[in-house]
Amino acid sequence: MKVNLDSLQRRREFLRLTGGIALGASAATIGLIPRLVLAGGCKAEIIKAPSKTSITVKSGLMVITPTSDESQKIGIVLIDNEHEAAAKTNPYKVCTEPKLRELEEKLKQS
Amino acid sequence: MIDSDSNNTFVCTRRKMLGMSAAALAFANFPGRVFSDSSESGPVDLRYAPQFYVGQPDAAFRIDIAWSIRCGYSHKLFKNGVDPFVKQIFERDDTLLVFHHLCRYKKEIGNSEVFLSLDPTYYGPACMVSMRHFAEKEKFPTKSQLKKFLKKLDLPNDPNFNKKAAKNASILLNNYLVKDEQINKTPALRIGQKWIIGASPEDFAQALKESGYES
Repeated sequence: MKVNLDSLQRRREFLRLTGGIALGASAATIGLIPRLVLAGGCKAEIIKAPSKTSITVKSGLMVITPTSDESQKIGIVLIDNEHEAAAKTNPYKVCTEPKLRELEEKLKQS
Repeated sequence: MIDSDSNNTFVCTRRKMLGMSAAALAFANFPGRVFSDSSESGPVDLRYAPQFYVGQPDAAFRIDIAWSIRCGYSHKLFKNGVDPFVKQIFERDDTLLVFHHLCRYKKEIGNSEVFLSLDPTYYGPACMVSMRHFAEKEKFPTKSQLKKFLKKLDLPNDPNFNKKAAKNASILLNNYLVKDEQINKTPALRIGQKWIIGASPEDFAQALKESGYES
């Protein structure tokens, strides 16, 4: 699906399609300025978003969290000037208590 | 700029020794300056973002921490502020803590690659235990020392690891934090909109207090 992010409604649609919510910014804020301000101040200036899983931005870094039913997942999106990057969630980069304890035990035994 | 690798091979001339001592003194009282790379980083695979989080991703209260494993001030902040705080977060559902590996030295990109070469489910925990370990030992590990330490833990590696992509992602994050977020020293923490550059454990406690966070 092609997403044109030239209006507030479309920007909201983009966030909905990616299952994302804007952290640290209201939808109104997003609509007023040409940049998506996400994740407590991280910025991503969007040039085009050809699909729900792919966007092109000028520069920036943003964090997209998925819908609540997948609350343990988070997508951390790094984007450079020239390359399209998939705005997909990354379910892996979380530090959970059981995993941390597992490593602490391994460290004690080593 | 001092490179931690050079601390391990101490064969040098008197002049070089004096130069290093002067540089060491210059850095002794200040949190570490951070490098940025003027070259473009190239394509980036999202899998290799050198970042992880603890807590609830949709929590209203968010803290960001930019840390370096080769920075004594990051060690201090971690040991006396962040690490005890993480233990509290596991018991709560209202806090998100996001960690950004900000490489203080160019060679620290190698450390970042080592972390990113692990199975991604172990990335965050490996960063946490490594920071704890090297902070306690007061050592700044080289790539090989970090590799050796993690080998003891017998962690699974990512079979599809792409070193170039990991390097690109690490450089990109460094450049972003240094140039766009104006973070020129490690560690840095953000509660709300403002970064505290060169944050100490006391700064962390104060910022938490000022934010109204109830611990």
